Amino acid sequence: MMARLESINYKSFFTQNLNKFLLLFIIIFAISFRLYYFVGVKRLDSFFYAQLSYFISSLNFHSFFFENNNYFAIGRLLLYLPTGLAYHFLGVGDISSVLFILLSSLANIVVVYFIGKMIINKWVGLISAFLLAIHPLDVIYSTQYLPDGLIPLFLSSSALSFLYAERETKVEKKLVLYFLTGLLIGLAMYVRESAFIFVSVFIVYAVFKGKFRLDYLWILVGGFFTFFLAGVFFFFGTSDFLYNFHKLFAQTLESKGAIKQSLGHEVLSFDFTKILLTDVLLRPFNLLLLTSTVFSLIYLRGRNFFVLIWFFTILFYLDFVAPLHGLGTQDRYLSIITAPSVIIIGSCIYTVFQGFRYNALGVLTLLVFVTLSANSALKIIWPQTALHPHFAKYEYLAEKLQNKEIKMVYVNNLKDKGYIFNYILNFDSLNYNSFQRGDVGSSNSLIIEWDGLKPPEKGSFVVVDSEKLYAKVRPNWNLISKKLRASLYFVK
Amino acid sequence: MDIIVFILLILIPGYLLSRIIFEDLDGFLIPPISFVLGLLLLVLAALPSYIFSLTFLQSSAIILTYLGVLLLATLIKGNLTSVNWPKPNFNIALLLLLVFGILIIMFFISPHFDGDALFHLGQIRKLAENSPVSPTEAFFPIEKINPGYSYNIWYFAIAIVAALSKTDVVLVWSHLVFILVPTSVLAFYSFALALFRDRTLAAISVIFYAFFIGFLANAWEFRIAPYPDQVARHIVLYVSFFCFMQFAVFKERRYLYFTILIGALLPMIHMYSWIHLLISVSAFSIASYFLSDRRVLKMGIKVVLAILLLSAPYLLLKLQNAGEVVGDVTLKRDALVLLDRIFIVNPFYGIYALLLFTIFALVFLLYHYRRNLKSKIWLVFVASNAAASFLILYNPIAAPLVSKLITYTYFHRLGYLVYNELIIAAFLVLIVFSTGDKFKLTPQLRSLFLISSLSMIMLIPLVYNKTKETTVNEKEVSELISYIKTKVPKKSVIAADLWTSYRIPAYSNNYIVATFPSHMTANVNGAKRISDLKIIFSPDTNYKQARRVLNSYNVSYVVVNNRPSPNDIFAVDKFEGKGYIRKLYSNGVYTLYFHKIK
Repeated sequence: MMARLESINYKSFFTQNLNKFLLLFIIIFAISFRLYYFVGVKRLDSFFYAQLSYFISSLNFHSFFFENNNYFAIGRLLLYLPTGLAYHFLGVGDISSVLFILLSSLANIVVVYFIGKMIINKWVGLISAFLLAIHPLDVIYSTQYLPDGLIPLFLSSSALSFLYAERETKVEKKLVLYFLTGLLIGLAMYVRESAFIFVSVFIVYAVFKGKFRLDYLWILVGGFFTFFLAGVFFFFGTSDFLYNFHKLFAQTLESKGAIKQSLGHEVLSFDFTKILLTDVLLRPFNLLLLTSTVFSLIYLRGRNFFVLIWFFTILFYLDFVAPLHGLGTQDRYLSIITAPSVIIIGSCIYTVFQGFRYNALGVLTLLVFVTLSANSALKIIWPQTALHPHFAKYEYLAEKLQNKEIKMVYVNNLKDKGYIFNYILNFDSLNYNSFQRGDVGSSNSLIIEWDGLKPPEKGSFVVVDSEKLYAKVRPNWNLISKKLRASLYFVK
Repeated sequence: MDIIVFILLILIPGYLLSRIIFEDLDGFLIPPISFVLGLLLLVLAALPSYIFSLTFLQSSAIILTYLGVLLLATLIKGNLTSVNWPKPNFNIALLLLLVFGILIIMFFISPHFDGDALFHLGQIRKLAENSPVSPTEAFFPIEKINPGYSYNIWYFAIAIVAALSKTDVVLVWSHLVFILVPTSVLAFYSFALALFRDRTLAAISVIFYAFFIGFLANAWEFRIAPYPDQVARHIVLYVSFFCFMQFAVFKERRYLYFTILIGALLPMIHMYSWIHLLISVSAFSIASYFLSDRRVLKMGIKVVLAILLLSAPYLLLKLQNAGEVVGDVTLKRDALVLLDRIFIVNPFYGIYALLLFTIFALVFLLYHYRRNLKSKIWLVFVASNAAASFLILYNPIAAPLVSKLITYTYFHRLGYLVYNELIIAAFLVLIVFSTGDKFKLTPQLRSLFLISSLSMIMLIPLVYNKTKETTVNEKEVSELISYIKTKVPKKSVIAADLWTSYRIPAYSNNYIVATFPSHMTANVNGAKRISDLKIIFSPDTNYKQARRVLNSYNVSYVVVNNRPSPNDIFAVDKFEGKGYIRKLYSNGVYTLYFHKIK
């Protein structure tokens, strides 16, 4: 053993595997960055996802399908299933809720490295991987229980599989890779439904290349295969093969109506382009991205052509086609173009610096500068995301309600009802049982919105928001706790 | 109209003088140098106007006299329009792109109208709207000399433009950014060109100038371009450096004289840049003695002494109330107090990420050129200035002394002695993008610089955050001031809460009782005035006590703010229905009373 160790030429071993060491360093750096800016389960949507994962972890599929009867995102199986597994083994909590998302974010860095390596070389791969490791948008959503941290992995993997397929000469292998491409898009659809749009990237690519091959049909086969599997799952659970799509369409129609009602028309805008260029989380990259995109079009002579198509097609979709554009535009929807944007920047940086004597130093200093900018952006956003005072008050009140036999909780508006319910639930089975389940059809019907007219029932709790409540506190209410502007009372 | 008057009074005389003195000047350097020479010439009109209380008409006569003399001299010399334009190439294209790009940006970015801007506008308005010209305090009718900004040449320039063009000073201030910002870009270019003696490197330095100020800092310094400290630092100081570097290289006397004259002009605009120039020249001269050219030390001493001597009469005139001016130094959050009155800048606040990056680049450059430092005059200059900055900011003996001289606020700005833009540009061009110590501007690099500049210009207005200074009473205070401007006699004393008081002299030709302590000059007894203002409005004092104070300050108008900010004076309306006081105006937030002085 010792003799074998001594026979290794460490210098040449290190030189030969330099890119692997650097990639490992990038991954370690990415983990540290993500853990430093850890968020956990804070947004309202995350609580719904957590509840569904909780049902899965306890193998309670009836509740999974029917508890939130009209929940449009019931189809996001790839989000719920792995987290359900994590809940099962690690218990319910912040870390188990985001574990799979965090691992996916790290895996995406590796995938981006391979894409960069494939389209130009390993240095482009490394630069792109590093940029993704520090990208504030990716960092902040990698530790939140939302689809935005997970979906990029499936789309990047699909892109990588497609690029491998394009290069492959053996027919069988090529078809398997196309099938895998479709399969991964299909899986992405079960993280967020809009992922199907990624197919359009390949269509636009084929149009630009001027070649439609019959082999591409295998992409559709892969996609339909996932669709079929998920359909079977829903059929056995609900007797409806398209259960998830029915829920989704109902919600989409509703939200489209809301957009029309609030704005008077459907919006065609550059909202996401604006976010891409101006949002605090994306600002450290905006100048680099804009410069690199124009530079790529002039100088890279199609070497990163696929990535540019990927970037522009999805941006076009977000700006002009996505059902929520104009209303509810948020930076997180741009997570699906983070990967192509870092590869565009990476390829540009490499092209610019190659051939100069101190190119490594130049690249390094630029990356240090971008890292510092990314860190500044995260320093602004992270406290707002992770420590929002609005959430703090409900978290506190929910803690006060823990382990209490709750008859009823009165709140003074619908939004508060959602918040307080999710905080009381707090992914904890104990709390969940304290709701005396079985009496109610919908789990949050015990938290009721109070119009201030009918007096609250005796033995119930009342949450009072001092800025919102229109009814005065009654003499028979006992103050239990108070934080910020919220107070919790017990009705004697 | 105001812009035309500004060009006529400042830029044209400056241009004519530049045609006589610097006839070989590069065309792109003419705007900043004309601007500075124009201000220099304005001293001939401004100082007599201040000292002998001339009217603007008399001041204009002085200006027209020297304008006529200069025109005649230029015509005799025959070089009125002969400008030395460099050949059009990449550097020129890049420079034009940046200058015009930044000019266009200013149409989308509004000037800053809060903080110090209101103080300056108050001082300028008094000059512009009252005749004759006077250096006295503008916020309070006390006939004392304002120690900070009395006899200010820049105030005089804006005031005479506003008076002759019959334009409100706020409008003149807003319009001036379109001249000042592009001029500051070109002034920086002049400095970089004189330092590096390389057009490409100078133009690339301008990219970093726009990047740091425009892109990274939300265009903050572009928005406050008309502040005296900005005009001094971003235009006059850079032009003085241009002259000094030209003198250091060519040893021509005209550059020596103009370094001294411009150096002496600096304290007439803002003291900080004067100190900056003196430190910078001293540091460079000493460093040159050891590292490159020994003769530079002698030149440096000559320049510093001459600037000190020439500035002395003006400083004496200005600091006639010095005993009251130099009070205790007010420290800021970033000070690290070591002992009683002994402090330095806290390295935790002072050394930020960008500075570390710059230090790394500077150390790398010094190491790289360690054998031929003698020929790298630019490197000696930037390195010596950076070293001087650290030796003052982090030196427990120098820090309290310099703070006493220019206040802590401006002392910690000595960090500007580290020229980030120049160091990073030099590092990038001479180290990173060079092969075998030779920088070759490949087509690829050209495109990169042009694309990134264009992208930056596009992004600056897009990312510009304009919601920053929206305040609660913005609409109501503007309605109140409109009423005051039209209905209240000029030069009345108005009592109001601190926030509203600060706006009254800025937007109308009236006086106040007190405002925020940081915006009252040291010789007006600010603490007493604020406590008196509290007596006027406090719920704990009665109407009679309030009236006694109102009479003592000759207050004829009282403004009660129903919605003051939490840190302001809490106002109670105890004037309704009282004798000697009559309600004139109310808009829901503000009520204005007329008070009959006893």
